[in-house]
Amino acid sequence: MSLPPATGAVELSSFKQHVIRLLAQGKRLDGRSFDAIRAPHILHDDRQAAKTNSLLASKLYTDETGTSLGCTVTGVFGPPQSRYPEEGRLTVDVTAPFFPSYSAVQIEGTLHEVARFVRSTIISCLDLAALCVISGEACWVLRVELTVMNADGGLRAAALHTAVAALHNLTLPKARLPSGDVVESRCLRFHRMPVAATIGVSAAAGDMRFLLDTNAAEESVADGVLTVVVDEADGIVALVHHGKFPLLVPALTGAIDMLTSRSATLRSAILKSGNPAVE
Amino acid sequence: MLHRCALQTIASPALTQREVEFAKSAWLAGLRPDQRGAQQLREVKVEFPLLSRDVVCVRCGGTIVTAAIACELVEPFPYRPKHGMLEFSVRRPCTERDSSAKSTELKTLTAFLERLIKNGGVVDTESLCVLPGRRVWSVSVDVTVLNDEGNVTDVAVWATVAVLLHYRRPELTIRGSSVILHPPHEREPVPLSVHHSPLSFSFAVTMNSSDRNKLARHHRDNKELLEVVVDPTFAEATAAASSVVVAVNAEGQVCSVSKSEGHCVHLNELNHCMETAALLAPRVLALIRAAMAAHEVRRQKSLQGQFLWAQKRSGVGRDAPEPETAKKVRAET
Repeated sequence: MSLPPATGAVELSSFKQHVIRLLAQGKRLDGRSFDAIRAPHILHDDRQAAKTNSLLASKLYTDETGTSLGCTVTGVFGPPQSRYPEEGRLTVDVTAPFFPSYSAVQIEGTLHEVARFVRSTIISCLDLAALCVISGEACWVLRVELTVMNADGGLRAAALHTAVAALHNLTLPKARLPSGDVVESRCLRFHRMPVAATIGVSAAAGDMRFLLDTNAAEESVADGVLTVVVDEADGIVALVHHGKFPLLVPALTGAIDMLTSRSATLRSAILKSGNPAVE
Repeated sequence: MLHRCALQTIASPALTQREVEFAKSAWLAGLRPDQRGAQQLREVKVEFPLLSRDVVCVRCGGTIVTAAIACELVEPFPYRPKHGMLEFSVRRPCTERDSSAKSTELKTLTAFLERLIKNGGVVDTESLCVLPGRRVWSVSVDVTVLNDEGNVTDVAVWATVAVLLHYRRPELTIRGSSVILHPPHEREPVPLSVHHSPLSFSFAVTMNSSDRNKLARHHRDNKELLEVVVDPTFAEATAAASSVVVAVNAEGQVCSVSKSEGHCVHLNELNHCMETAALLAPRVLALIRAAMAAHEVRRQKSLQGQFLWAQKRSGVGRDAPEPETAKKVRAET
């Protein structure tokens, strides 16, 4: 799922025809080549005075076409889940309060799915046992709140990058439990650093072409949309494919190769803006 | 069955741990805990229990899922005036021992069904439009998980596809802005326009590839470790390193691939999953078609029985106008 493109005063069908014509000529709407990505810029909010007791990290994700996501991580103590007494708890919420042209019902399912995707991918790469304080009694409860301020396609990938940048090298502070015990500070680390991209499959003019890091206009005209998450060893961390176009094995191979060739650039952009305080 | 279900419900963590360890040991030996092959499904049974076409019951071993479908004429959304509605809901009878994660799993399954069938173009929502902006069909599929012994996702998708293929909506006559809804005894109902039939298959990837390489170095013998198993049971799903869900239609095209939690998978494992799913999809679809044909035969027999009874009843006190009516009825049939 993706949010429909905000075309302003242009008719949506005319906009789609324009994008289809450009793709048939081998061009993209923003002038990129078919295998180019939009480099993310992640800003770190290090104002200590503005932080409350439970606020641990604050990030702002932007890229060249104006996608903007804010992420705040808050942590409190709480009991662990009964099914997993040795693990901490992690919740992800995605809200989009600045989209007046869409109805709330229309985008609620999309945001819930993005939240589920981000949470499951982070759980795959982050050991939740690091959040355990006392087995079965107390653990850290981290709450990741993502605010979509502007979206231009690739919402899953952007949300995942924002959350990973906020959680990587996150310092859980020294704190006191209600029972009086003092918990030492520790640093969260990802044992695998995931990078994601949305890849569109365009079957115009008979041949199959891949669009790396699609924007909203390309997602609305693409025959299939594929979200791939890979790690440093080029293993597939997560994969979501839906659409009317059947996914063939060469298409999947080409899509993953296209992302792995760009994953180092994405990973360095995310790691460069990690939390500065490393203890 | 009941005893097994009771054990499943109140199983202690130690018992679950024993099952997990046994499953892992069996995989190392190239076997599965219930002696199935790596690419073998459990016994799949599809049946339509009622005479009406709107309820299906699918069993896969101990997992039982029913799907019921209903449709009604409603007013469309203002922003999509030419598209009908297609809604899914998945529910299960809950006991007080079920944790809150069960509802999360059901919501995930509902989102998966919606993404696969609604966004995948299985049922064209534009064909559900009757009068643009005023009257569209709203189709709702209600999936109920009666028993869960693993692999509920696949059985729910099979049940949904079976009920969408078999359902017939009432015939309509549109005159200007008025819509005449014909009951089934006036005109034959119309099937939904289903473009393709995706069937999903869940795969459990047994262990991480790096762990498998280490084990291959330790054990020099030629015993084959099971890498990917299809249709995992509850214990196998718990013991697996990760899971992949592949949806394939009858032509062998991959409609959806989903891999969310657990360890990384690689392209060869993913290709293996897709090829296995392409092999298994025609068999499950043949089972669904056979169940539809058997249900049709049962419906016809039942209707003929009712008609014979009415024919005998109408033969009492035969007089002059009755034979003409009987002839008309025979001519219509």
